[in-house]
Amino acid sequence: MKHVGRSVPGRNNVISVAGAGTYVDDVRPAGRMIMAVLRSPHAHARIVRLDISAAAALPEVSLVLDGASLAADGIVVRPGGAFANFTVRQSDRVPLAVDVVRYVGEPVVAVVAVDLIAARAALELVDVEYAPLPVLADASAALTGQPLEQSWPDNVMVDYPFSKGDPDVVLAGSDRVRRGSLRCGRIAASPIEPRGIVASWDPYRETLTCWASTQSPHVLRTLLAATVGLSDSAVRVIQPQVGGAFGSKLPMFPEDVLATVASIRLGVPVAWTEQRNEYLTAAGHSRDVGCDYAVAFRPDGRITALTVDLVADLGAPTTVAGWAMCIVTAGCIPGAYQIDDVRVRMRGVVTNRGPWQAYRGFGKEVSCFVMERILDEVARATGVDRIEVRLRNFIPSSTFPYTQPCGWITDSGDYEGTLTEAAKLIDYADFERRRAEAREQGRTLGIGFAHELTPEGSSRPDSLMGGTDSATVRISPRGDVTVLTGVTSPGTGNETGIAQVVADALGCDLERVRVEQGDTASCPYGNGNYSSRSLTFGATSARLAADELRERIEAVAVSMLGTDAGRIRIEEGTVHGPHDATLTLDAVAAEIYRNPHGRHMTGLPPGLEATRSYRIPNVHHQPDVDGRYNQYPTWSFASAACVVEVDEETGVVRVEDFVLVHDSGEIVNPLLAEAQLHGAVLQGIGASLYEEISYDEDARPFAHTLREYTLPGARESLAPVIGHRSTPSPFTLDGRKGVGESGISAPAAAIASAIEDALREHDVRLSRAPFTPARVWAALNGGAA
Amino acid sequence: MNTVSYAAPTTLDALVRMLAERGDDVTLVAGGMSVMPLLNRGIGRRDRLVTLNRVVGLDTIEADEDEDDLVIGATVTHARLAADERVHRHCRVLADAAGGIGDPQVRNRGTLGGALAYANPGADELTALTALTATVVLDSSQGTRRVPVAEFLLGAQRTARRPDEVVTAVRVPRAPAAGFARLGRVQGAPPTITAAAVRQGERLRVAVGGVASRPVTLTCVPHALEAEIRAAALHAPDPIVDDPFNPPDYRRAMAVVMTRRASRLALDRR
Repeated sequence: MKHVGRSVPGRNNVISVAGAGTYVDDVRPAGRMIMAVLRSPHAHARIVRLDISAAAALPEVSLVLDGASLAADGIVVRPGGAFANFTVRQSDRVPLAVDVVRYVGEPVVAVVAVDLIAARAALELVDVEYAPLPVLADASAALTGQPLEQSWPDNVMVDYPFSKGDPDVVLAGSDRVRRGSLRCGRIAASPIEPRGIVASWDPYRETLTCWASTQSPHVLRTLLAATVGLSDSAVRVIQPQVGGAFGSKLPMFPEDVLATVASIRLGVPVAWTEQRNEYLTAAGHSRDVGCDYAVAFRPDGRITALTVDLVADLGAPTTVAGWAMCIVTAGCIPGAYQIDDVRVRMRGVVTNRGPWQAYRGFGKEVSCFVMERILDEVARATGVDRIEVRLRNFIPSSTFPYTQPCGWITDSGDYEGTLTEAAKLIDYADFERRRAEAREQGRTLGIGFAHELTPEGSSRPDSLMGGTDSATVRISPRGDVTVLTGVTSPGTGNETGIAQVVADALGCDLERVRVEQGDTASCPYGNGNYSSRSLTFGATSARLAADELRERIEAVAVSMLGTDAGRIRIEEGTVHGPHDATLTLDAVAAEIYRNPHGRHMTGLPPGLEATRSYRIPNVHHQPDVDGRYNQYPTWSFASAACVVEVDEETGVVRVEDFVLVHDSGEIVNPLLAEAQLHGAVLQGIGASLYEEISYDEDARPFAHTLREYTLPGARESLAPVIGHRSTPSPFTLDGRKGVGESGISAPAAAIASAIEDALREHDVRLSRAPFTPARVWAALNGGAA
Repeated sequence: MNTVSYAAPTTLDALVRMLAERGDDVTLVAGGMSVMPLLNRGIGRRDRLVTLNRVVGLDTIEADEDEDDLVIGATVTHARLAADERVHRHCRVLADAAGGIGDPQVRNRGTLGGALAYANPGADELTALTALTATVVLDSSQGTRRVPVAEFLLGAQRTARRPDEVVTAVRVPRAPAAGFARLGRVQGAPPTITAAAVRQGERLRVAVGGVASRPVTLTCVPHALEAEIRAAALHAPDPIVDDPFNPPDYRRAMAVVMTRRASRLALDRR
């Protein structure tokens, strides 16, 4: 029986439900001290005076760090991300503010004390005087304002233009042109467990052990070691159970460095656990992108030219890699649509808002919102049905691999397949009857559609996220299997999927396979968990290692059974030979360990352990003559359809039905894939209707708790209907493409489409996500939405 | 270093004596649903916490037959209010208001007295109590005084309670025909607009929370309602409540919509 393809329940489920997980705040080594961080209350100010003496004098306080002392010690963080192939301005940073604070929430002082109460009391004794500086409250202010970074000529961190054909000529010659502006509101990933680290320096062995709520233990190890001047091999990073990450825990944060420096100075373990108000202001945001577009089209809805001019508010310059999301937003336009004449430009500018950090979707959700809103506009202008206008513009299935205007190469796809199935599952054909029925009850319903593209397996040149991973498969003398992976799990259950892949490769019982992740001391080098790579890269590496052991096992089994290669098969832990001869895998393992010099091992390497690294074949890091390269090997996609009810008096929108049909190539575990998709859809709905990080005109944030940052709760939840389709990747070993980001992009565009459809008599346009009741109401009452 | 003192008096007498001595320094805690998140963020005084939870006699619901009032103790939780049969019979609008607060966990701990003492603009129960013309009972070492809820609420997080006083009960007149409507963002978030309407013969008495820093009230005949509430919402003397999700013009418009909905319920329950 094959394990791949079966809906095996996640191995982490019971631990999570029982509350038995060990999160980083549960790691309490003896002598642990607590770090707390004083943060800037100003969006932009000069530090006129900073006096830490009263805080340092408290008997419960062991250490107070400020930016000047760190700078004097040479503690400086290099910016993260991958800068190759782009012109990106960057600045090194001290993990605590030096002279100037640039956003509300920026770390200014760190205090280490016996407990949290003492640490917080010490923070209150820190004497800081600020002199406010002019604030760049948003991207438009940044484009015209003084440079935030003294060494930069302006505030543009990244300017990424690309084009294909000549859209200006086509636009000028077309009598069907629509222009518009769109905007995606700023949001925060908001895992239930915020960030945290315990750093523990052993002064005798001169080694550092860190337990961190991170997605990438090996990457964190290298970045931390480089920052504090240790060898990589003196640092061990352990990832305990993680309570959600969604990209927002990719290393390395200033607080990781602070806890580490403090532990080395004090020789005791130092723990930092983030509070929600710190998370919401300082852990990083995403989206906050606006654009102006122009689209030309034929009467049949076929798009002939498109220009999109995007500006992203990246927040304050920082050393985490979230800024790279704006590159992906641009690169995924026009995405699923074949348009011959295109120009896209993305300018990512720095402001005095909070910095960006990676969040699920990684910029692709903005591309989806932009493209799908434009497709709806073309449908409206031509009178062509919204499904039909998409079908007429999709990249045809026969043209893959397809080179996007930005140069990235879309491996495969069948967009018509998911969209037509989504329309079927939501019963589009019968919707007018449903609308009329609801109307009789005084309810206003609308139906909407969107198609999303999620390129995965991000492989950035010149970075520690270059797009390979490793796994070790180890079979013990009794036949027990341990898999050690470089990829990690933020709670998604990928360890279950990896075990399924390995059990199939070895032909053993699933229960005999144990997966260990997230410890640099035991696991082989890997980039960790991001860009839906845990099964495409992690499980494939494990399969390659298992295949190597399987070859050895087969050779020994053939010899033990006295038969010929090709005359045995292995199933569920048993080797079957000719004439009903059988042998357990356990017996083969025992033979390999007990008689390494025996006759069955002639010509074979001893032991049963293999480590393999998988490198995906269709990533191209050498730029072509046009400077283009390919960082995304697999392109998952999905189509969404939804029905919403709009309260015309209040503007309140409720999603009544949501259908998502995804195609992520081969699926290892449909149950866990669906679990991912349910979460993604709800996060997408959150960003469409409920969530927004707002700043006032002085760049002061509104939300400090989850009372103000309104995540959808149980009342707002619904169970989406999920459809699975599979167009296997022709490039990955098992055709997998990755499902970790699918489903988060399409909701905003699908819901906007449905609201407009519900209110079609009013000719309402929704251009700005989230579609809060006030914005929908304003649109209905003649204002801008 | 700051230390926190924590006292749990068991009699009202002991409590008001503590307030008489150190009222300015004391932070009263009942369910903690308003005060604890603030203290956790370092907002407010936290040197001396005094809990009401063990004070005998503050968690009762009793009928005062003489005045036809229901006397509800300050530490009665939102969950109890929402479920209590006497509250349903006597002033259902208060039960409706309590049942929509926060989420089940918050309703199980949060109290009526706490909602009054924290006086958040738009708070469900304050709007209902205002429309019901309820009276707040305050105790101190000087004795007991009763303050109409409309006079008790002075503004956002501002009340007529003196530092030496504690809210011990609320007296609610009988009002069987009444309606409550709430507009909020997500489960658990504070309400945007709350409206309560109480029938008084041919007239409606209406309170709207969430437009201004305290409930806007008016009394009129039903057909004049919309124009009047529009005028009242537009000309509210207190500062208009404003947040990025709900700008003032939207709040004013929703005051009208929610009033209409609450009034319809009240008229249906004649």
